[in-house]
Amino acid sequence: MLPEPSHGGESRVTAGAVIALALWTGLVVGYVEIADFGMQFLMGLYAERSRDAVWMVPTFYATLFLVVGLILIPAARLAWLSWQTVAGFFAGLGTLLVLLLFPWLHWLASIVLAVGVGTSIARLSPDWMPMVKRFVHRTLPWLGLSVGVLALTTFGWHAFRERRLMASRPPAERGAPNVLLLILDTVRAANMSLYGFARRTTPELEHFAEGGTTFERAFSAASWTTPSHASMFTGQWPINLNVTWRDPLGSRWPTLAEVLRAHGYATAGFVANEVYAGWGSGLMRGFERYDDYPLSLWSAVKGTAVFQVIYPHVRNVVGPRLGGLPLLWRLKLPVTSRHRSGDRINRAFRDWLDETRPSPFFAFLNFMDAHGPYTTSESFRNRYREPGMRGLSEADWKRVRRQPVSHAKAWPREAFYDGSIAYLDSQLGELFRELDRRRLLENTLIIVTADHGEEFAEHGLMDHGNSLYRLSVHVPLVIRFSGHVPAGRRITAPVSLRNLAATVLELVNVNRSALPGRSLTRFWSGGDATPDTIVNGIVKVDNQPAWYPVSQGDLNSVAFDGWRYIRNEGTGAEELFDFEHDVLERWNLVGSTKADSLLPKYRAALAAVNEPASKPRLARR
Amino acid sequence: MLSITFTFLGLMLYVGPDQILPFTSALAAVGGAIMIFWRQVKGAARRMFGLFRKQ
Repeated sequence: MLPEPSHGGESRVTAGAVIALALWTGLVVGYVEIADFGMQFLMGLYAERSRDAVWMVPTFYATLFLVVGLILIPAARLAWLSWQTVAGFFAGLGTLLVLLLFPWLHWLASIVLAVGVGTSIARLSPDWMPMVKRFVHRTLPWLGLSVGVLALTTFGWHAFRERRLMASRPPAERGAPNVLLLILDTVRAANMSLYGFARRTTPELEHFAEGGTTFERAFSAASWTTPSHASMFTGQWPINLNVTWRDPLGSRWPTLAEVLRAHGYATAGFVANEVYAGWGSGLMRGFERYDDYPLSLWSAVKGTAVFQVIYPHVRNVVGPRLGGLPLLWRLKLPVTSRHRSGDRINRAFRDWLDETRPSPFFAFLNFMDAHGPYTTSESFRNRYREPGMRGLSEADWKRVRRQPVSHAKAWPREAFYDGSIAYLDSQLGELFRELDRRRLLENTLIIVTADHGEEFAEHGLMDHGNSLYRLSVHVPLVIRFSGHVPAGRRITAPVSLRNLAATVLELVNVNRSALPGRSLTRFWSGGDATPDTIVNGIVKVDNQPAWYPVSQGDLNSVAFDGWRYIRNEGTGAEELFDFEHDVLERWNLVGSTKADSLLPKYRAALAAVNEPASKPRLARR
Repeated sequence: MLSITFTFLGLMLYVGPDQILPFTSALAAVGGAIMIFWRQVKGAARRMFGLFRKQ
């Protein structure tokens, strides 16, 4: 029951009025944040939040303000605070939280402005207060109701969308095989024992690969998640996709999920990389179920601006001190960039199999455990940590990746990365055993690959997406399909993941011409077994350190006939590497006599490959 | 009106938060300070206005 509005100029603080005002302010702040989110969506930018944020964010803020209000009630009574002061406090706090949304305001300026707003409200004449109370009293039920309606609508929409797509799916061909695409986000081939790495990071995958074909030189089309996934899903080169850090995949090109669904496949995606492979990335198209943001308290809190701006600082200050406190030493504050673990992605996939019993299915699982800041379980994370090696905090990781570093300084971080790959490998083992238990291993085409690699200062760079050097695009690729793909075979010819969609369609015998690319089946079916031309591309970014190659212009590369050519379209800088022998790309041959004779051919090849069918520069979803 | 808003937003995005942060922050801080010290600001403005009128 809401408190009755008081009348006249009376400004006494009542508990009910404070609670009502707290809830009202929280809901309004939540809706302002959602308006900002809606703006991003309308402008075709990445929606970096769950679809459930529309009701989760206002609910979170209402709860936060309620807690503050409950603390304030006794304080207000003890200190004889006036109603105006309480209203001013909420107005100031609400303004501050809204201002946190603006990256172009310094936090100190935000505080001064918020205090200004709060002071102005607190200074209002008591005669205004009845009107304010009446307004809050009248509008609060509607605000609360709207959150409920939004929650029901969102739930209803998820269910309706999935059911509508399932109902409209045509029947599949009898006995059609399943397709399972497993993408290990940020796993580079160089750190996998499957490819000869000294640390035994991938025993499960090695065992699995004995039943399939391993490609020793597979390359992703881009060095970061969205364009790489988009190329795999559509069979297009990055230049045609126009995927940037701001522009998600548009609806111009058909996707593998759409083609398979049109042939009766139940389609589902289970994604740990929520932002760059989630619903806002445009990769969801064609999937009946797309499980990206989990419905959890953490997910609700993580999506708010207050959390994203304030929590990392709180964690940095409070986190290290927790270890020294009795009883609290086991308490670990979660990292900001925490994502769903491989175990949970596997579980979501298993639940979907149990729930819908799809046959045939196309499932896509994106695992993010090897992505920085490498936050897998302690036992795996520290597996290769050497004595005296410092730990790697999230803040360290974020700081170091933005500075030029030497390999000597970067290599200890590789130990945590390797431990994360080992965890991921253990989860793959669990998944393969589960598939075997369900007798799905035989009739399922399984592809294990990665969307891009990672750099550990081999060129002074950390992380990925900032260059096109080989270690950031050389990825694992294992294809297993009993009776259709040779077992225990290793192919050394360079191949591009751009051809994955064509390969899948060929292997499951579905409308081969629906998606472009050269099927990799040619390596065992007696066809033309020539290597792929390897093409990579990423678009210039504006908000990264200026010394990153990608901050200076679009990056494109092409590799064939034993040489790899990289060009920065912004600066015109060129690099030419020996593709066969210089695997770390340490020796740029531009300027040598050899390069002088080769460069015209590679420039022409890159120009030909990157000539898009038509430039969709302004394409939006 | 909508196109003007979007053009403005586009320009803001193009310029980037880092570039306009000093300007917008200064503006916000001044606005906040005026609100906090509104009475003093109002009093000072009145006095100045009165001074001009006397002259």
